[in-house]
Amino acid sequence: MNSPGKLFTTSLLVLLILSIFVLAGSAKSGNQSDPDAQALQNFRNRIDQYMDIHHRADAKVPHIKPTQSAQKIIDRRHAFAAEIIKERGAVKEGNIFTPEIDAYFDRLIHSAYQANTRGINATLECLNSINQEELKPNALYPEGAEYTPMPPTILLHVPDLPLELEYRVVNKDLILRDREANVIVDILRNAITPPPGRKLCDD
Amino acid sequence: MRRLILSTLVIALVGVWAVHFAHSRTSAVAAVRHADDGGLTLPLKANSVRFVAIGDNGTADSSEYQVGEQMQKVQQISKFSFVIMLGDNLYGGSSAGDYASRFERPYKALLDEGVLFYAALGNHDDQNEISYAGFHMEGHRYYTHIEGNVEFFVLDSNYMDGAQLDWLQQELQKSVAPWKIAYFHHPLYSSGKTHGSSRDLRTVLEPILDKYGVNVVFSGHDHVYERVYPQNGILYFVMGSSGKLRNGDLRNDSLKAAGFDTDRSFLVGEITGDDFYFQVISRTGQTVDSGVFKRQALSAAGEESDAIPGSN
Repeated sequence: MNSPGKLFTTSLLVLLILSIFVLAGSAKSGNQSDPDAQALQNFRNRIDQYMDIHHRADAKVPHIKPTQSAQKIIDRRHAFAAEIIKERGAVKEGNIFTPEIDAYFDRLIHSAYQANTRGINATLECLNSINQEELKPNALYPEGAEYTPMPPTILLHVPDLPLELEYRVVNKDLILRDREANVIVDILRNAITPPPGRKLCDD
Repeated sequence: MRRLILSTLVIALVGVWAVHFAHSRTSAVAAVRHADDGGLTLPLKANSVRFVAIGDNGTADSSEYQVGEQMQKVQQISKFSFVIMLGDNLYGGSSAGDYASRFERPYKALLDEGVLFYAALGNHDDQNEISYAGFHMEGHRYYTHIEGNVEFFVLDSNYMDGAQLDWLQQELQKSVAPWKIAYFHHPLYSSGKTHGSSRDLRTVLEPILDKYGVNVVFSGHDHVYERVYPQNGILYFVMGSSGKLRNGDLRNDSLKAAGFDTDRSFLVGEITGDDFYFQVISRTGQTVDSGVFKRQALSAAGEESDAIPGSN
């Protein structure tokens, strides 16, 4: 028969061991969610930094109201783009999509495919003829080029963007584009798994 | 004996009417006529809302101009006041000259008469178009315009994100227009062999259109004309051949109520009271489809009431 003191010590020991297991478990699950939260915050910070540049450039170019003159619209956008390109200088690929954010987007896009592979593949039905070499950060997105619609399921899985920016899919790559200035902000290479057997879009 | 025959006849007649009525509720399009006389036969009533729908038109080739000429002929009879553009308004259009050759010149006669054009963006359209006054987008990718008892919801189907879906829900919720018409480039339903139905878009958009009582949806993208059998009480049109054409591209499937894939075309619509009349006219002036669609009113609970068969 154990003495009450020994029983108390044993109970305390069991409780201690259990607590260690519980704490270890919760720390492990915390580590699983933190990378996503950190990557999202990092992504948002980088987008905010880009938007500061966007707004500064926007303020330097006189605004126009909707006009019958297409030339005025085109000229305004070119001037706006030139200001952004000048201010960003020799920005490199990965300026937004760092390895950490790249991995985060891979996870998000993977979960979008899990939700609706068929729908995504149907949207990405044909190959865009854009030369991948033309796609560089701080370059103009090819003007007059066809637009592959963004699969809504992917849009519902990736972080929202300010209205001035958009995601675009060009074959395997996900482009982050300034839709007002038509400037490529950054590129996430090989983010998309295109459906097999696609032909060039020709309509 | 005579009474028995009479009773049987009455029962048979009631049965025939019941079957007819049930079918009319489902299809909601009554007495569709396939005429080829080219004459415009809409009701052409005073104070109705009359418009034209064109899609995938901005090619600058002779076909677009010929369709423009037919639209002008219709305008002389019907005096429609506006045109809805279903996207691909300017193929490859990144220069000022493209705006002139693909829009201002083909529709010059209509523009000179004050006809307004309201554009949706297609996959060949440049973002610049939203600032072009001729398209009345006022700097927005998606917007609404109200014409009489009709509210039009113009969407950007290239980029259907959460912000646009939230906006659409709010706009539909606050709309008091008896008729709600949505238009955007990519079709939720299409029998086109080249593209077909945009299923991913349908997943996110159709529940909203159904819930808030949208009556008619127009799209383009497939370069054909198609009238789809009503889906959940909504009449869907594909009008993607007002400039481009993909000859013979329509599949004979269970979606297709009517179609035309051997020449370019445009659609004339007229809304008067609870009736939507439509007539589809080819590049050469032939009527290739026409009919009338009865509006299905929504109750407060959001359930559709009975559709009353219309007549033509």
